[in-house]
Amino acid sequence: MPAVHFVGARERYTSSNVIERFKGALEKGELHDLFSQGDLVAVKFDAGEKTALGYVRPPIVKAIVDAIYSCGGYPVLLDTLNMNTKASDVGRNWLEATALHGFSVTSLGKSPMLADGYTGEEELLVPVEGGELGGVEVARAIAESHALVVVSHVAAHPFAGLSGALVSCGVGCVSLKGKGRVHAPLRPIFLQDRCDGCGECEKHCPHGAVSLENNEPQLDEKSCIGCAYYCTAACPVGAIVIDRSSTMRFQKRVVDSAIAVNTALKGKVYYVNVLIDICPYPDCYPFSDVPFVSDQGILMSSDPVALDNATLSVIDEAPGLPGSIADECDALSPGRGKLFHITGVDPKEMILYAVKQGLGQGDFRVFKV
Amino acid sequence: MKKEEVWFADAHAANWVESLVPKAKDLFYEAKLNECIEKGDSVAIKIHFGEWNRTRCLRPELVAAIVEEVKACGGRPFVCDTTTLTYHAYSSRFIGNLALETAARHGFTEGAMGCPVIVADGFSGDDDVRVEVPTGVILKEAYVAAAIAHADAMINLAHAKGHPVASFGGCIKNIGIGGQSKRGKYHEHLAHWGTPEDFIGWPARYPEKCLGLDCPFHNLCEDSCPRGAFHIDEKGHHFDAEKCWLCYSCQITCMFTGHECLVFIPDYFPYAQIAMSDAAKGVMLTFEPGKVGHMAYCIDIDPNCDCIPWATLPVAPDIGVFASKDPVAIDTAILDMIDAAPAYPGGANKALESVEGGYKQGQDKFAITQGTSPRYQLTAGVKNGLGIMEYELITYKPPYNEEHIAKWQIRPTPTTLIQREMWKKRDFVLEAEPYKKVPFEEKPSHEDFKPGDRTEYLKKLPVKEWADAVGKD
Repeated sequence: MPAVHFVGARERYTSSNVIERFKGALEKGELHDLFSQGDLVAVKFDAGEKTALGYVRPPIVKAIVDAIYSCGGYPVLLDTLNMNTKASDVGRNWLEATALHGFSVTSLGKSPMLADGYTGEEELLVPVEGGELGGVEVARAIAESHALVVVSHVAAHPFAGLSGALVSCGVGCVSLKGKGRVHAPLRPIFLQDRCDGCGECEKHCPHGAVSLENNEPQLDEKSCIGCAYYCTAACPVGAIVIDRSSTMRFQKRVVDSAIAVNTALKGKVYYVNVLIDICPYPDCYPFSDVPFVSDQGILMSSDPVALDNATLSVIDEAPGLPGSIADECDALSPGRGKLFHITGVDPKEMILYAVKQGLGQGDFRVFKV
Repeated sequence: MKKEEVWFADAHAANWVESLVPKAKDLFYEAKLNECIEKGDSVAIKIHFGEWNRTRCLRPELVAAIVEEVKACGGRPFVCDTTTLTYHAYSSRFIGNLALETAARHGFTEGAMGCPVIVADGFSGDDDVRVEVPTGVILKEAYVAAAIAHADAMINLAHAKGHPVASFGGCIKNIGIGGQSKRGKYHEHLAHWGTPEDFIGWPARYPEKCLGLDCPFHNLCEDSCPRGAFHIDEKGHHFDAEKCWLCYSCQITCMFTGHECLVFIPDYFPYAQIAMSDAAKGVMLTFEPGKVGHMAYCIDIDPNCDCIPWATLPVAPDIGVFASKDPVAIDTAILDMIDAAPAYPGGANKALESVEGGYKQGQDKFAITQGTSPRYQLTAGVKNGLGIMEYELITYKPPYNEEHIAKWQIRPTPTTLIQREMWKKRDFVLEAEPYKKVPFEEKPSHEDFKPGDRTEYLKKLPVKEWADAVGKD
């Protein structure tokens, strides 16, 4: 049964410091066996959007960098570009966001860089067999590394249910083209009874796929790339939802893509899920909203499926925070499927598919650090 | 006779191991500066940040090279300089925030250094430790910047060059002035020593030479005093000696705008050098014996110090890097090497070429360019126990072999192997083949691209001496 290590968020003494316990666990644990001396070890983190407050904080990333050095590897800090920004300034936005959020050579001892280049086009096509996707474009610097540590800021995800190890690997480790491939099936549905015809969706769609006819939004199927972001995030009255059959296809593609990343890395991937500031929106959104469960700590494993499943149960078991979206969705009580109630998407579906495709196991055993 | 070891590596380079950076790293160990550092020590790396618009100062990689080795020895380094006095009307380092902005402009940032970059005597410059200097020739106490005084060890990493007051700035000056807090610097300028008429503890002032309001620089001049110690009106220059604390700001402004009202007298300079050595001794007293290593880069040997907001052509060609455990011995060796070197053509604003009969190698270069010999600081350092002038110069030549080439590279194994591995996965160079170009058999003759004779153009160049010389045998 795959082991999931758990560093609880509570600290009471100097010796119970989260960062120190986390670093110690990395150095002693499976990270040691992940790579050989002198190997290039990619650390995939998410710098977060410039205006968002929910992201993994630099000391956690620094702990991973230090642990890789002490295990004899050369860390390289990588992130990929976000498909939700205009192509002309994605790279610049990312650089500004990393600086704003404190990810710099000063704080980390290494300059973070873009794994898929300044415009998100540097990639290596990796085929996958027997799934939704024929293959996916893995970000070049990740594909060139000898091993990979995927750091995820755990959050709800509007189309996957859970943004954890699977999403960070399957979406976060691929180039812009790869992201497009994973998102492609997503389609918005306009709830005409809620729509007040304000036209925000038309204004925000960068692909011109939404137009207002008689004050009612219409989708041009051919122009829509399935980013599922601009129109949904722009609508002030919640009249745009994503087609549920399309989110299931998205979840499958995330898993297939994660398999491709694992193939490129020959399975040498380690996953860290950070359950601190657990927000309703993932790091690719320009806002995060208030966290909906209290900080839990850091979970890690070499099995992304077991890890996400463990993460899911920790979140569901934790009491929700009053005044948060969990409160709004009537999902405060421990044991309530919070992510499902918040996003309307069942993350279990993604986990079951991942088990079926052999990416990992659903069972897990938690070891407290 | 006891001699101190001074290690030296020259500035020539024709291969990997001869770069100044690896040679400085080698010298750090050859001179056993690593023995100054124990695991866990807080280590000050004292450098000169260089004034705003200064173009010949230390370069980031030359400092980072030493930071890396201090870390390798288990030390916890920080790169530091101190706040200055207001040396001129646009001083850029007399408070912490300006000093750090200036440092960043020269590349001295945490990112480039790999360790904190700090101002050792705080924001305003009053964070210091008072040290008694019983052996001082003039000064009996020093005010050492707190971060330096509290450090466990120090690498005194100087840029060797001339100085308008001290004549030469090397390792002694890097701590003798550079290690002092703001009040330490005033004290060491000998402010208020004697009477205003002596012109030692005050600027040498000749009010009859002041042009008053007719001077085109009179506003700059009046603004240059941080204490408002004088004002200029139609009757000339009015001075309040009590307010003045001899920061040199008015003198630099007056002299460098070509005027002669506020200047120095020749007698001031030797005293300033002696006081500087006393203060350097004060800094050394804040460390346990054997905890300070001295290094100097003797390149970009400008006649004036890094505290001057410009740089001209040097007095001598680049010489190299030095390391020693004795600050007097290392400065003596550096000065000897500078004097033995040929003059830099057109250097020091042609001061050396203008010597009667021409400059001869071995003549005291800074005595010529600055008007005072720089060696008072050395003899004062011997008297106050800072060090000795007798040295044994050991020239270091790095071994040229595979192991030593690998030693100071970015990775210990050839990085081409990384590229080889990458091409195996996907070779995007071959993906674009065939590239469009003229067929090989139709290639142009490179004879057609041969450059023509430039003599006629060169004769018209704006540097007259050069233009006149072109075409002459």
